[in-house]
Amino acid sequence: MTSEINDMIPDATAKELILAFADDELCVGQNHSWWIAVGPFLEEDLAFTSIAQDELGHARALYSLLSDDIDLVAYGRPHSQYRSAHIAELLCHDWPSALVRHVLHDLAEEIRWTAMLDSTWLELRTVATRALAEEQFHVHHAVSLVKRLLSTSEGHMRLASVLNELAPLGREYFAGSDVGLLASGVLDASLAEQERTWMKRVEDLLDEFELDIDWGVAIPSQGREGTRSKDFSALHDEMVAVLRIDPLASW
Amino acid sequence: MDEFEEFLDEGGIVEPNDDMPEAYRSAIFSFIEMHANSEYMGGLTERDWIPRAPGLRRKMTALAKTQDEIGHAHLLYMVAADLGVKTREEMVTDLLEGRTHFHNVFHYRVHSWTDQIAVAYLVDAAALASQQAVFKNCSYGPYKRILRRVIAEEGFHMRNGEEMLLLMARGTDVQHQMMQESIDRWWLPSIQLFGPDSKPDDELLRWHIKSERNEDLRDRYIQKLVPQLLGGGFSIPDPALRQDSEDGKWKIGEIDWRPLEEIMRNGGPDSSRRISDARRAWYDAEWVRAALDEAAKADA
Repeated sequence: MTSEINDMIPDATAKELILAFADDELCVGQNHSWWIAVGPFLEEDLAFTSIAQDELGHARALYSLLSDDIDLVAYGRPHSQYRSAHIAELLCHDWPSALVRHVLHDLAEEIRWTAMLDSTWLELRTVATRALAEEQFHVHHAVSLVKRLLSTSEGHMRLASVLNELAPLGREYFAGSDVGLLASGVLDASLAEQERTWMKRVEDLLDEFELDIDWGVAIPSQGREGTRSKDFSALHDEMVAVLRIDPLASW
Repeated sequence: MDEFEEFLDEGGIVEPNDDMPEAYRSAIFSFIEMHANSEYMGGLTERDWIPRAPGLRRKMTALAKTQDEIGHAHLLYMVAADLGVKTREEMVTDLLEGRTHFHNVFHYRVHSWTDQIAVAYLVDAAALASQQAVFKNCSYGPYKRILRRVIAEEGFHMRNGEEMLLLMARGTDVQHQMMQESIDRWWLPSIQLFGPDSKPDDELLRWHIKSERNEDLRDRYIQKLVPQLLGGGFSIPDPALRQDSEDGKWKIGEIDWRPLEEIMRNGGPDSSRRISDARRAWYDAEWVRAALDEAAKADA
């Protein structure tokens, strides 16, 4: 059995799933890093920056499963070859959006890593185990902040509309193909099951604050197919601003 | 006061709840407040180029470094607040309203990635030298203990700066040129970080807050950095710079202090943007702090 697991070679679908996950992490890590030194208070600056580093670290670990040249994969593709969910690309330069995306993203991320914990792709399993340990802190941070803010009338007023706007976009975290990935043991929960778990967790979180999300009927964007959101271009320009000066130089 | 100074001269360490002359309390408080403000504003200065850091490794390193600076500010504000002169909130408000100061180097703008390297190399080396000199003989216990950690982390920043500087030194013509322009921009601010020559009877020295005179620290910095920069094939923007033929020491030309005087009035090249960015962020998020306070009270 062990030798069978060791021999597992990820197929194109598995690689595409990992690329999409890595791109989500790259974009969110990049976006979180915008908040350094301008958060609501110093402790929050520190927490957000720490989470940004973790997310970028996850992106790095996931890209390393696909290529030895991590920066080339992370930064060297044309826009249409990125696979990020649009919610991950949003700049979120206002605190309510940044916080709401943080909670939606990390609740999703925890579920996504959990589905890889027993993966037959052993390198992925190792990455998932390490990432999940960090992820629990991210979820705790996001959920406790959101709960405390929603318990006040001001916080409720500021966050409710943003939650309604962004939560449906979060469904895209679970978009893409998982054909054959359960059978081969790369995942132990389908993307559709993961999506249902996530929606339930979001609903449970918001339930006590009398917030109902209108999830819509379909996943609202095509980030996984190569269509980029309106914010991606600005985000990507920043990512590669220095690399572009001389792509062949070592920085 | 004589008795207190004698206690300090004998290596006495002052703790927050000890009796201390008000002049000492006020001096050590202002010194730590300025240090805290500078770490915070340093984070804002570096922030512009973090999203543009080239490559994942550099981006994570840049984030970690700036996180350290914000972490230092956080610790220092708490140590300062314990002195009972101002609350943390009052210190932040005074900074944002331009009533208190922060180090000269953070009144400048980071124009390029190599400016970011210059900050990590030139500025952090200067800051580290100053902090080491305070740590060595610091009479205020909590500050000395915090400085131990600050210095350890600043040492990493400086080595990170050195690594990046060497990469630019060996890099392409474009990189070398960019780095030279950054050295030209940051050299004078960095040597001014030590401040004008110490007064003959500087109370910060007498009270063992500082352990060395500003001009001595600056001189040591110059002896260390000039050969490193020249060795990397860079020039130093000081036409009067020369090596003494007798003792082999590097002598710089006369320092033009006018930029520092402007900065003391918050009139530096990027002072107003820096302060207004911080002010906007702080006041925009007032509702977050108020709501969290309200939630904490409801929870209690």
